[in-house]
Amino acid sequence: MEDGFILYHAQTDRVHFLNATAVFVLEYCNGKYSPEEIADIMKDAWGLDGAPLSQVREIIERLLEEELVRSE
Amino acid sequence: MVRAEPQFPVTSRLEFEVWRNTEGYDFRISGEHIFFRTDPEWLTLHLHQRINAMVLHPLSDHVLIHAACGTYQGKRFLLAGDRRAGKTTLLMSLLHHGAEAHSDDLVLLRGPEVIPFPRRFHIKEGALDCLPSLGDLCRRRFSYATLRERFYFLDPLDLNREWRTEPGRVDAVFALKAHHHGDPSIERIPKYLMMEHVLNEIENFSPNTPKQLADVCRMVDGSDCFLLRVGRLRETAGAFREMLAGA
Repeated sequence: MEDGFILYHAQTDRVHFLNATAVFVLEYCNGKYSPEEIADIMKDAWGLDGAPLSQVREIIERLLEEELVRSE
Repeated sequence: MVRAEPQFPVTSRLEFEVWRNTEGYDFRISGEHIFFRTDPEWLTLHLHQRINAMVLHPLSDHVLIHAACGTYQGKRFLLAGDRRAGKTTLLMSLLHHGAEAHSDDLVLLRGPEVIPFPRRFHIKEGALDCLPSLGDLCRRRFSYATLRERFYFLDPLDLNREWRTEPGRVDAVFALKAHHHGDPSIERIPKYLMMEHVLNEIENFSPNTPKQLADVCRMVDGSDCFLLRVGRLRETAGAFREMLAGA
């Protein structure tokens, strides 16, 4: 949508409402990047003063709880 | 029962009959006896509900959203919220300020357009304190009492207004939260958050959930979205009109 994303997880039959930050993290959760690397990418992409590592970790934790990502 | 201007071709006809005798009322559909009751108020309500259900049944491929629908200054709006949020009361109040009221409870969504469902509006007895101009009219109309309160059945034609229910795109969606004795407030909210409010008001998730979700997403994405805390009615209606006119 204009300002966020709606995700329907067919296997759990749940709908998820994600803002732009959450979707950014989700897209980088592909097994190639660590949370620290994702936070650094976010810092550069959005011109932040510091890498938002705790926010990234919190988002990843929620994505894992909602089964939108799996840990390896 | 349904008096809105017809917008669609007739696909079937049913004949409902109520025969009165000394003991009570015999209800028939197309000549077939359905049941017998002694309470005319109960029977009238049942007839109203049954007709609505029979009309909705073939439309099960539409998404049913529990929301009121109206038009103000050429902009179609939805008021989405739970049963005591104030949808009908606000809608009836807006009628006095040049708005059109299309439906007070249900809209059908298919693709990018909504169809207001032409069920007669249900005005709670408690709401008449906020709508004093409707009190006398309501009390002369059919009403029904539940364990909690009495409802009056009214529609725009009773107020000498047009009652149009044609399909149309939505310009603005308001998620209503009750705050009835306080100050009203309106704020824009992100569209993805409005989706959560609207999905809570969907009455018929079907096996084709992705398609339904896509239709709802398109409808919300194409609309301005607001959270409206419904406070004192006059102020709420004023804030609503100001926001919609400027949207």
